[in-house]
Amino acid sequence: MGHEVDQLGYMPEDVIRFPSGIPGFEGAREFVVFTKPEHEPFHWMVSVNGPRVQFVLINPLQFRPEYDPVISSSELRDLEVRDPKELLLYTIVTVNADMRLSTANMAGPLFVNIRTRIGKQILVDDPRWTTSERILH
Amino acid sequence: MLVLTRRPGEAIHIGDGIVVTILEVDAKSCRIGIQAPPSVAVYREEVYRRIQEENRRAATAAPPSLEAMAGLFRQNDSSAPSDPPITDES
Repeated sequence: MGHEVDQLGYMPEDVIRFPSGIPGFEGAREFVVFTKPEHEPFHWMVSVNGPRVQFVLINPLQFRPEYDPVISSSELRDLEVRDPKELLLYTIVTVNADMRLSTANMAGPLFVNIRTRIGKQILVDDPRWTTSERILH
Repeated sequence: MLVLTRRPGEAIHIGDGIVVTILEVDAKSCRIGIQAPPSVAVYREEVYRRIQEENRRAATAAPPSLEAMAGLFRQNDSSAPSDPPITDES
């Protein structure tokens, strides 16, 4: 898929800033999430600034309705949240060569404030949620 | 590495806006309070490393066909309640 982002096009207001970066990719702080009906429930998140980085995302509630990551008040402040309804929740998918074995990182969910376009990867310190939870069963 | 001695209640300022306060000390551990601006990520090292490694794995995986994966997801979703448990995952 290479530089699909360049062909898809996006508006400046689509850009999500991750002020504290994504661990492992601190140089990439601006991303766009692409959602296509045929990809649902998966999404692409592609960096649009700095090194090219791309992730597959899924809303974890799509396959784990009981998922309940705790977000601290200082993290809510970082995201400039006024109303919890502003928050979108994603997890990063590690795609396995055998797609059925693909996993989601439930220990590091992404929260995005759709009003302020600020995103943050939250580290969930809860033994129930690991970095590699199977998505399909 | 800069090494400083501090007592509970004392703090260290790092640059502009980062304050590390020693809250409590006992024989095996100490509690630390950290104030930092949003652009500075503060994590426990071992947790941070785990997330960093998984992020790298996720980003370097070969670009998948999301259509195919979405298809598998929908199939899985609709058949999940009646599916027998998978015992052999190789």
